[in-house]
Amino acid sequence: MGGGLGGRLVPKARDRKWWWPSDAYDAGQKGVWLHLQDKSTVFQDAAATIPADYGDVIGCILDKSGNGWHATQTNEPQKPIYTLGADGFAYAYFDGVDDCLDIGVVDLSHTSQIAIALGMNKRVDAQGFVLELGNYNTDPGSFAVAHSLGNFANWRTWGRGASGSPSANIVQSAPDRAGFSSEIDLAQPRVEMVRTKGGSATSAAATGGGTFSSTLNLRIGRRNANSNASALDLYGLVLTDYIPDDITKSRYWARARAGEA
Amino acid sequence: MAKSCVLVIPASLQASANQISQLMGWGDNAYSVELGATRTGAVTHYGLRTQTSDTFIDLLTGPMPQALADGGYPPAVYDDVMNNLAASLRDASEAEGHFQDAIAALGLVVVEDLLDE
Repeated sequence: MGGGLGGRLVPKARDRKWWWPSDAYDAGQKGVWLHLQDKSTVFQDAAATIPADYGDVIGCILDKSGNGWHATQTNEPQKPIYTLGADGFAYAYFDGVDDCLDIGVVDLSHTSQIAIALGMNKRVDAQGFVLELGNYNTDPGSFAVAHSLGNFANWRTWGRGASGSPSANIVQSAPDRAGFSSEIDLAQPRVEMVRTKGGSATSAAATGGGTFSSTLNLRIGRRNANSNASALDLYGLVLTDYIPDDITKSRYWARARAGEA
Repeated sequence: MAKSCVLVIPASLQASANQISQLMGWGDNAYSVELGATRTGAVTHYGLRTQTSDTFIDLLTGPMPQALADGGYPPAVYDDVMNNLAASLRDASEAEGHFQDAIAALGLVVVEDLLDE
């Protein structure tokens, strides 16, 4: 990986008055922060040596959280396309066929809580997975965010504890470009999904407790089993190993990155 | 001019096609989408979709690339893959739906679970 990737790439909170995702990792918290409008973090190759311009394939998006959990792809056909929309918002175009990015094994075994903010657009209502840690259907300590299940017009977040896998479901047809947040607490248990434009859902069904896994792969744009690719435009992602007191900040950051109308 | 390219290979040749892709520097699992006659049936083919250029057609129709010849790749295996490879190219601006159209023309669909509604 290129030099200096372990450092934080933006000023800390004391230099600014407004919230910024770097604030979410100020105390060394684990997580991933991807920011597609920051062109300096997008590369054509997985080793992050060839900068990407709009229209190029994406082989790496650097994680700006400081954790080094970069999103990469080594198979050329599976690289998403770095795209600048007509309205000036940059995103990663996942083709809904085979495009995906792997963050690799992420160790979240110290926590039962995660929060995810996503700026994204589903282009069509064909079932696809935005994120999956492991296999949400079988692996304890896994989670997933998906859309259009069974070609139904929805968004859904799952969290799987030691036994159960509750999910929160928002009905919304494609195309749908917005900011989202998902909160999962396997210990409570609780799974919540909120769409900035309106719509929210919460499930408190049993998870069996436990923490997230230390051994599972985190993938963007497709399931880990190479199925269910998403026709997705990804503008930004903030994942933290805790549920913030005010998740609206990260959700509104994601909303702004997506240029939600 | 950027092109959207769909390639489909019979399942029996997936390993060879992936090996060729790897030797060409395209990664070790290029053909990764499971295809078959029905959504829940047997996997008979594997496919990919990628963005490429006009000159890619030369690769598909020309002789075995020098990089493979230099590496001692068996010409008979290369010919077997290329003779059984189905390809479809479109302008990249028409990429949406290209894969589905291309595999439908071959009588194939993506093999995957239809998850709950």
